[in-house]
Amino acid sequence: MSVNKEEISKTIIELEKSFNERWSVGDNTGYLDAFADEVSYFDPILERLVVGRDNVIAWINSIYKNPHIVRSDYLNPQVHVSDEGTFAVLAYNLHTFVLDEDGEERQLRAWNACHGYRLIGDQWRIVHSHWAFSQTVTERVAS
Amino acid sequence: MALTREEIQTLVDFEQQIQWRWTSGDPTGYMDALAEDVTYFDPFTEYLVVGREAVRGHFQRLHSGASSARQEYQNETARPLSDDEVLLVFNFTTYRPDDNGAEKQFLTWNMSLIFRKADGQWLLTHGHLSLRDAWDRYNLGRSIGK
Repeated sequence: MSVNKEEISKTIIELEKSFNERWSVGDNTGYLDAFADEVSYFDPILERLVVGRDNVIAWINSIYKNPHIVRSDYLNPQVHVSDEGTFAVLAYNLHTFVLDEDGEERQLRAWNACHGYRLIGDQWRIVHSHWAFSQTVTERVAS
Repeated sequence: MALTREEIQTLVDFEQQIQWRWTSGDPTGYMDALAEDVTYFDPFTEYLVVGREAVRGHFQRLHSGASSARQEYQNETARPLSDDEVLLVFNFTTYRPDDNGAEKQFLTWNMSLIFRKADGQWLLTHGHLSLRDAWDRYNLGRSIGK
């Protein structure tokens, strides 16, 4: 069976957007329900890698509150699809915006985000997720 | 055909070799291991960097030539993603000597790397590096509104 990588890429981007739009208005269950049993997870608050669906869900529930995001820009989305069509990695920049006290839009955060999605049964599940702030360092360092 | 445990171990060893070369002042190991379609983030990038030449250029601008005395891997996981691709995820810490010659922690990282085996060679197809203490740096509240 031939693999339609373009179609898979579109599916992954739309899935990610749907999860993120729900997250933005107070519903984190899109992401949480999509985590595979073996998911591994990084975010900027964590001290170390979290592995396993239950652990990642518990972590996110401990820190999540409605961010009241009014707009998200999904920039530079790139999806790499495996030749078998059962794995895809999505990388993109996410800019989020909220309303300030005067009702004016202001940028909340700028993120680097990558997610590994695996096709399990007939559903795409997240097997790895890495969130980080964009351009947190400007000086040159080796490592 | 699925990758064997031994093949995955060769990747773990390979990554540690090129990482050590980078840490000790030689970025060419990583530069030579970039796939043509690589995508890449690190704390210096404002946006996703796409393609081998663009990432090489970024490395050349980034690398200071300075070196660390020791590197440490924690929480390493290596998972096959497909018949020829492996995800490496780990925390990574580098150490340097301080003014008194004692070892001090330099930087500590979250690392997500995907490598593809092509013609017997491991190539990086996606790299996402971020600093573990970035949240403190931003002095933000403890919530993860995106």
